[in-house]
Amino acid sequence: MPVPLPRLTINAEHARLPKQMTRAVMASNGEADVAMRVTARVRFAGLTPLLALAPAGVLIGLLGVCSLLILRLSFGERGAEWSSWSLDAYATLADRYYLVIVLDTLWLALLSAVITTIVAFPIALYMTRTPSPLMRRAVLISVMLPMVASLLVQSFGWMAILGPDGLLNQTVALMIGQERAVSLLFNRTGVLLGLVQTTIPLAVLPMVAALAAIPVELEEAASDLGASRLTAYRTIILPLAWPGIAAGAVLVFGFNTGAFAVPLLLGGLKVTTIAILISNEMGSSLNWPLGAALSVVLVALALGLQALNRLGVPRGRQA
Amino acid sequence: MNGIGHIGRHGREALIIKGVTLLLLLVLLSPIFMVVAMSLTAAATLQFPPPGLSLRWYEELVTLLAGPDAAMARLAESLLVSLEIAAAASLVCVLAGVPASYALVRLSFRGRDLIEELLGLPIVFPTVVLGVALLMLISQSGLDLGMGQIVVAHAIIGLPFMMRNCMASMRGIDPALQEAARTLGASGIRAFADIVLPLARQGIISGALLVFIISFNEFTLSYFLYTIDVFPLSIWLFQQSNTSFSPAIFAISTLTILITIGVILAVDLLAGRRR
Repeated sequence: MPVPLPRLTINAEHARLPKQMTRAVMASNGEADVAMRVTARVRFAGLTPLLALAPAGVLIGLLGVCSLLILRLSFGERGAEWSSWSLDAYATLADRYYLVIVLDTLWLALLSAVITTIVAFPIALYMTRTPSPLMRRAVLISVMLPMVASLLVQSFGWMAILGPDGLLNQTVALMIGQERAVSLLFNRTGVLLGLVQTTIPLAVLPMVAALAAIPVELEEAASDLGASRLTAYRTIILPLAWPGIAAGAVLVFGFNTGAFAVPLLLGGLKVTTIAILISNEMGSSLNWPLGAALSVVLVALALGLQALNRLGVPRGRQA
Repeated sequence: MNGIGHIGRHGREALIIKGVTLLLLLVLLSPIFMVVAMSLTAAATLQFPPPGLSLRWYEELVTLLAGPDAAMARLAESLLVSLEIAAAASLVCVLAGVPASYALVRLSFRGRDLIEELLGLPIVFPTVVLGVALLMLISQSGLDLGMGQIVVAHAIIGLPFMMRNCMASMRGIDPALQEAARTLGASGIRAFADIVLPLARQGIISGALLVFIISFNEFTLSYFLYTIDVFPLSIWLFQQSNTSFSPAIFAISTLTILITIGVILAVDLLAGRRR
C-alpha cells in the first residue's frame, strides 16, 4: 500500500520557490489549474519583464537606430549617401588635417582628465572625512552645480572673469600695470578650464565611494608603526582608492572626448574638437559620410572606454 | 587629539584639506557667482566691479517677459518652451523609467545584466552624435514632431538618471511587503500601485526633478534639434550672446541658476530623507 503523501499548502514563503517546484507541489495535491494560476502570478507579479521594459526599450532602441543610421551613412558616398557603398570617408580620416584634430581632442581630454582627477582628490577627501553632514551635502551640491547648470550661462560668467577686460585682467593690471596681460579666454586654456569645471562630479563621486571604503584603522596602524602621513597616503590611501580614482578619470576622459558645447562657447572658434568637426561636416560642409565616420570613431571610443571601466572596476564600487 | 578614528581628521592636515577644498570650490563656482554679481549692476555696460548695485535689470526683465521688445522678442516664449520640454521629458522618463526600474530590481529574467548595461548607455554616448543622428532621422523620414523631437532626445539622455534614483529607492523596499499584499488577495498591478509606487515615491520624484533640470539647461541636443517654432531658452541665450550683450542677459541667467539650485536642493532633501 502506497504511503499517502502529506498535503502541502502554498503560502507566501513559497513564492520564492522556483515555479516548477510550486507547480509540482500543487499538482501533487490535485490542484493543477490553481497551480498554473499561482505560478503565473508569482512569476509575473502583474508585470511581465518584457512589458515593463518596453517603454524604456523604445528610447534605447532609438539610440540603437541612430547608431546604425550613422554607421550606414559613414559607408556612403558623398552626394549619394543612402544608395552607394564606399570606404572614402574612412580613407579621408587618415588625412593629416583630420588626424591632427582627432589626436588634439584626445590630448585635451587626457589633460582635462588628469587635472580633474587632481582637483577632485582633496574635495573627495574632505567629503569623506568631514564630521559635518551639512558641509558634506553643501560640498556635494557645489560640485554638482557646475555640471548641471546651463553651460551657456556659465560661459557668460567665464567671459566676465577671463575676458579681455574681465576681472582677472583688471586685477593683473592693478598689480603690474599692464593692460590685457592675460589671455585665457577663446583659446585652449579657457576650453581646458571649462572641461575640468563641468566634469568635476564625474571624478569626485567614484573617488568618494572608494575613499569611504578604506578603514581608518589601516592609517592608524601605519602611524603606530612609525609611518609618516605622506607614507600613509602613498602606500595605503592612494593604492586602495585607485579603482575609484581610475574609474573617475576614465569617465572624465570619455565625456570630454565628445566635448562640444564647452569648446564651442569658450574656444572662440579657435579650438576644433572631433564633435565640432562632426557638426561642421554634417552642417555647412555637407560632407555627411565624413561626419558619420567621425561619429563612428567617437562612439567606438566612448563604448571602448565604458568597457574598460567595467572590466577594470568591479561592479558596485562605482558611485 | 589623536585617538581612534581621528588620525588625519583634525589639526593641520584636516585644515589644509578643508582650505584647499573651499578654494577649489570657489574657482569652480566663480562663473556662477560672477553671473549673479553682474546681474545686480547699476551700470548699463558690463564693467566689473559694478559701479553700484541695483535691481534695474530685473525690472527690465519683467518688462521683457511681459511685452515683446524688438531686440529681445520671444524671451517669454523661449522660457515657456524650455519649461514645457523639460516637463514633458520628465514625464516620458517617469513612464519609461519606473516600470523598467521595477523589472530590473524585482523581476528575474535572462539577460538582466545586459539590459541594465544598455539602459545606462546614454550617459556615455556622445551627445553630438545623438543630436546629428536624430536630426538626420527626422529629416529623412520627413516627420514633423515639433517639440517632440527635443523631448525625445532629452528623455533618452535623462533616462539613466531617472533609473538610477528609482532603482535605489526600490531596492530599499522589503519584498515581503509586496508578497503579503499578494497573499491577502491583491492583484499584481494593485500590489505594485499600492506598495511599490508609494514606497519608491522619493526616488521617482528625485529622478523626475533631475531629468527636468538636465533638460532645462541642456544645450547640445537643443542646438541640433531646435526649429523656428520651437526655440528653447538655451538657444535664445546663445543667439543673444552672439549679438547684443545687455546686463538683462545676466538677469535671466541668474533666474535659471536659481531654478537649478532650487531643484538640486529639492533632490538632495529627498535623498537625505531616504538615507
